[in-house]
Amino acid sequence: MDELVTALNATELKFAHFGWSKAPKGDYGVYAEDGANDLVAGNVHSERVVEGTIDYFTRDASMAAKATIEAALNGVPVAWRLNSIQFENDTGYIHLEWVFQVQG
Amino acid sequence: MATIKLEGMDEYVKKLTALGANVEGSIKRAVYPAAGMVIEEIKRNCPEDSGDLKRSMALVKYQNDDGYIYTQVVFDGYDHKGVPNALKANVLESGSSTRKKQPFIRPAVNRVKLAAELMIANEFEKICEEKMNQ
Repeated sequence: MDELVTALNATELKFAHFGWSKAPKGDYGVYAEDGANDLVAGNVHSERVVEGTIDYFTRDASMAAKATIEAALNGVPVAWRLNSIQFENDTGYIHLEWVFQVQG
Repeated sequence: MATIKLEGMDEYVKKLTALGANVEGSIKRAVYPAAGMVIEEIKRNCPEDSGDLKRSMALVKYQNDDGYIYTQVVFDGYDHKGVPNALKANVLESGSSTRKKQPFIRPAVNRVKLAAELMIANEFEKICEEKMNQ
């Protein structure tokens, strides 16, 4: 998980763990663990896997941050997938959501 | 030269053929209890307390997509305030810039995935045994 956090923080994008006490102005992201997806073999958890999501809220229609975040994810041993891209009519934000799995 | 004589081979082949002819029905029967277990776990994990969302959860009719047999959990209808339950489930699961997410579907599925797979395999084996012993 540490490598994932370091990789996200190394981008020039704003990220917080679990949420912001007050959402910053402009574009920002949140990452959070929400469960496990362990590999179970021979009645034991042979590989421990933490699962979670990364959310990024942007008003940039070109979604340049998408490539930045995915490049960061590709640079660390993390399994990930882009889960959804949603547009918020009321705020104008584009909400990108990735699901990740990391050994831990 | 040794010879082996097998008794009841015709009957055995007939049973195997009958089993193969309705394999889709057998798989659907095997999937049903596992799907029930998954939906119950999602309900248990559901953070919304008015009860509307939990009540709205249902399994759709089984689909056969080129041999891939499955069902889906859907959020049907509207809550008591007229909000579509599917929209509410999505907002809870994914969150938004104004609402913190409370993922309840994916973590619930992850928790019971292995047990559900085992349940399908066991049920299918049981169904096959039943049919072969008829």
